Amino acid sequence: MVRKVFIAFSAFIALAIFTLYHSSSSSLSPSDLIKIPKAENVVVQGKVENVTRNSEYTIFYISDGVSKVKAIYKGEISSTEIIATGTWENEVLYVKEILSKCHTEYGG
Amino acid sequence: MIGLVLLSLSAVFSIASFLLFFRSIKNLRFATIAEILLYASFSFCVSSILLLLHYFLTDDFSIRYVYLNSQREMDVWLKICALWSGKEGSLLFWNFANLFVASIFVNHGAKDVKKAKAMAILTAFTSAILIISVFANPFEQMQIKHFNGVGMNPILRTPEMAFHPPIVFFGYAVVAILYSSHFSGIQTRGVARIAWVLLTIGIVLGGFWAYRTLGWGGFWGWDPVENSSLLPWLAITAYFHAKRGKEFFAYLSLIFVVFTAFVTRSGVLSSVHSFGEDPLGFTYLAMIFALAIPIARRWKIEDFCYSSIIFSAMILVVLLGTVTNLFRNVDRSYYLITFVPLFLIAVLSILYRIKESGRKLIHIGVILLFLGSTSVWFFEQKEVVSLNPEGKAFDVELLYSESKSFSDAEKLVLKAKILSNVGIFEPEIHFYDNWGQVRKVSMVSTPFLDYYLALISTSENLAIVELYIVPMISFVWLGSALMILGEILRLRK
Repeated sequence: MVRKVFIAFSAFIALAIFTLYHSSSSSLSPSDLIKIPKAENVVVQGKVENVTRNSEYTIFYISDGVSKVKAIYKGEISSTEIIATGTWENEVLYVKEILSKCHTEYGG
Repeated sequence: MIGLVLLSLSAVFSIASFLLFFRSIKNLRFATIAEILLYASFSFCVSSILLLLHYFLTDDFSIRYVYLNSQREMDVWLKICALWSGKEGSLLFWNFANLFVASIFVNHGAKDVKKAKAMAILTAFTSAILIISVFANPFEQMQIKHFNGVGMNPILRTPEMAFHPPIVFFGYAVVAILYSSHFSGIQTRGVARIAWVLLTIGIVLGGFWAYRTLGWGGFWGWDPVENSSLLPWLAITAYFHAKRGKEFFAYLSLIFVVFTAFVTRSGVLSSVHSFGEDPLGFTYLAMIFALAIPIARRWKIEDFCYSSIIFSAMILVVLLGTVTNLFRNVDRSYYLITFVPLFLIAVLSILYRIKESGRKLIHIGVILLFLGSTSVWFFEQKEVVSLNPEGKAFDVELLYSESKSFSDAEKLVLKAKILSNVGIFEPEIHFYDNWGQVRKVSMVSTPFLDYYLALISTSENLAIVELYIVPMISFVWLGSALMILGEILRLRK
């Protein structure tokens, strides 16, 4: 019984690690991103600059203080610091998802 | 300077208390003095926290921590909350919670060798956190005294800030009691229940807060800090369900509390919470190793196999994802593929045994929580729509009625009124001098759907809005409330 449980558990964890490997991606700064011609599901962190909006999209730049990249997002940006996930193509980041960084050191 | 002296004295008395409690394991005569030293440590900690509060309430911006987290225009209640809104202050508050709970615990039950042993472990832990707090120094003076402070981040200026952090820290403090009690062989079921209730309330309040905050990823965004706060909760839940090896989960819960502190404070992870890099953060790693010693010494693989396998798997899945975040970004699809099936198995097992369950209320709550959370994770929808002045998103017809602006001491507020066939939305944009814009969403709730609307921009006849349709979120709140109520009712037995 103990052995069976242990084997089943180990198999599940191996599956979880496999899933994790395929669900994770490296997090880049704008300086890193501009060196790459194309990338899918890339995660970029930085400060939001020069926000403009049309009726459908928010167009802005993500900056790390050294470089900045143009980004397009269908939705609202509610923070000055973000973690954006999207596709990098033709020197534009097409953002699928944005998480706001709440800019606090609060540790609750 | 006085504040640091008070805090240092608290640390010194706590260390002295630890040494005497340790000594009293062999000679109980020392326990009385150790107890008095603990109270002295607590008194100095309270004094230092009151002093910091005084600096906040009198707008003393010569203190760096006050300068960074407060502002003259902030309401008094926000200035009180600012006490725990930053890293150093929240650490000080954690010390307060630790010493407060330890002072109650020392007076509860028999004062015997077991209690002395538990108190030795507990005061060693509180001393370590106090020492880190002394080095973090929330009382650091600035060379220039500013007329005004930077202020608390506007996103944190919500009623949840008053309750969520203190409850979480008290939960963590009770987890330390659970660890030390188990280590010394004191009965701990009541302690585990209190810790579970506090952590559950803390997590649910945090989820509610994140849900109401645009851009925080909803009620549960699988953010590393959220995940790490889930780990001690899962460990205590596993503790209740384990047939053997309960102590493993009791020890694990405090290790995860310290792991949360490491994740939050070391600056190693990307999160919706943004962290400053702190060399002291790595001290928590040393604490994790020290706290893991009993597990390494006492734990057997057989215990694990007879323990709560589903919860163990949940813990490993969340831990793997959170640790991987040290190096890479983890997509939420990982948690949906791995965690949700485990959650489903747990719910099916509850349904199978619901009639004989002694915790019906809690388990009904878990079922509702599962239905609500999976509905939100898989079926939430979002659309951006221009109202000129009418527009339609999904089956919701929206009409931009008016907008008005007004100001208070802190901010300028732009408030729009949007009529719809589901109700009236009144989203706001708050403009702060040194923090930019913050959007306050407006919600229309029905039993099965929440309509969640954020204002992007407005002009005379045009408003651009973002509409979310969130299915069954009410089940999350109702399920969580039943779980908490069920455990509170059991506490009385």
